[in-house]
Amino acid sequence: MSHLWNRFASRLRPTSTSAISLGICGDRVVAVRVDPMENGRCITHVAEERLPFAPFRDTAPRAGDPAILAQALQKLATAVPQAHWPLQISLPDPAAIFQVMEFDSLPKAASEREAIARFRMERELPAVAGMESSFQVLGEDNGKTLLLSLAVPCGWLDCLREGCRAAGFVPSVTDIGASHLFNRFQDAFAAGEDGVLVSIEADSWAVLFWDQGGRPRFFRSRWRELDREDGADHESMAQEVERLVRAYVLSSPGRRIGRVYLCSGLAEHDSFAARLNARMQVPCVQLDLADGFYVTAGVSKRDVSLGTLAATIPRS
Amino acid sequence: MKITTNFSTPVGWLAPYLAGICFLLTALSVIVSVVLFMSANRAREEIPMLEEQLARYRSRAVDAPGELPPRDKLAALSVQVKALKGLTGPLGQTLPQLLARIEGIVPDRVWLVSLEYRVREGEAKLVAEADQAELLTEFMTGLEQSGFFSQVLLTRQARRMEGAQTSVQFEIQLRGK
Repeated sequence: MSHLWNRFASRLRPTSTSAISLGICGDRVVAVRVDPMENGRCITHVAEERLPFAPFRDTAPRAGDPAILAQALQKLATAVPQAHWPLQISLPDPAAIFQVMEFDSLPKAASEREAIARFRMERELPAVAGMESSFQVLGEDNGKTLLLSLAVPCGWLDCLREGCRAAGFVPSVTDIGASHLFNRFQDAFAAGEDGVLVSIEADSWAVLFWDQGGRPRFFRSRWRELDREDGADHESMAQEVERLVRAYVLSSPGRRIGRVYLCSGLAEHDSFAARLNARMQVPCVQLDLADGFYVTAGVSKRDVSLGTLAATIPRS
Repeated sequence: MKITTNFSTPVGWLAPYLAGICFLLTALSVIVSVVLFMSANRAREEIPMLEEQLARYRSRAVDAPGELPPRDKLAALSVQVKALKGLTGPLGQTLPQLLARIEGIVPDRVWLVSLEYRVREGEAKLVAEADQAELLTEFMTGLEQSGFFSQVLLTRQARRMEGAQTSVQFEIQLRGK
């Protein structure tokens, strides 16, 4: 009955619609509106507000930060009004703690399941105590039930929610950029093999691994230094990615990374890809997020982060 | 598999339910509309038959009289009708009125044996009976003093024996005013 109802509900939803995304990248908040086209999507509005601080970089906002963020969001709401379109928010990847936990069995009731998961997370990672969590059951593997848990600092989430409320934004999805990217490139990933997606933003980078069943299994993200030297930074990132890939492959027998997918909006993209290719012994596939996106004349998508652009695709 | 973690409460989760309710309401409205449409059609089909019935009733209607006579002539006619009624109608009082008046006058231990009333002449003949003649005399005096009658006349007096009991009967003729 539930299956039939879900099918009925999915048919009621429009197949293609305009969408708004809101992204936080460093000290910038960016709003993007995308309209559907015959052969893809068209970016029609891009608006940006710069803040005197970088949201989610610290563990909690300072006293004046919520008001400043709310003011910036109100300006963005004027430039890119939400109207009735869906709004998805992309949070910086390093702000979240991403954990896939294995359970012998899980309660069917979501509230009980989340209570157990939260208890275990708080025991393993004390930092989760001041965070808000979101969960997803990933299915079973080797007789264990996998549960994905994503935790984000409560202070910043509340600050963002208040700002959205003041600006008249009603988000339908709030998630980290890596989740939006992973969903965006589902069709590009080779089926039946483990894979890894390396995404590099201006202020952070992230690595997301998935298993042969396509289930997310492991995630790491780091902030990038603002006063960095690109060559050294790329070398450091490539080294860290290589180390993480080795750790993932060795963590469980039978794991073998088939391809490394790289998605980067950087100008020095090729330089980093070359360094990564030199270190990795598997093919490195470069993904172009801009593929399928067109831009209206007079609008530039140069400053739009990967997560923000990926968040313009409504989650069905 | 897509990642579905979310820190917002999706606002659209009610949409399928609302759509379902709207669908049911629409279906209900359509059914009501169809019923009303059929009912209206049936009523329209009945219109010729009802018009025919109305025409039939109208044709049966009594023609209204033409012009009435002038007011003074109507007044004269009314006077004539009253005079005729006075000639042909009952004199003075009706039978119920007469009985009501006699009931108030007749003393205890006096019984009415018979009453004969001629309405047109305004005359009545009654027979009353009592143990003693004084009671009947008292009755006649009451009739005379009541003021309802122009004439109270004793036409016959008789004594009646029934075993050891004796009684007196008066036949009285009355004339109304």
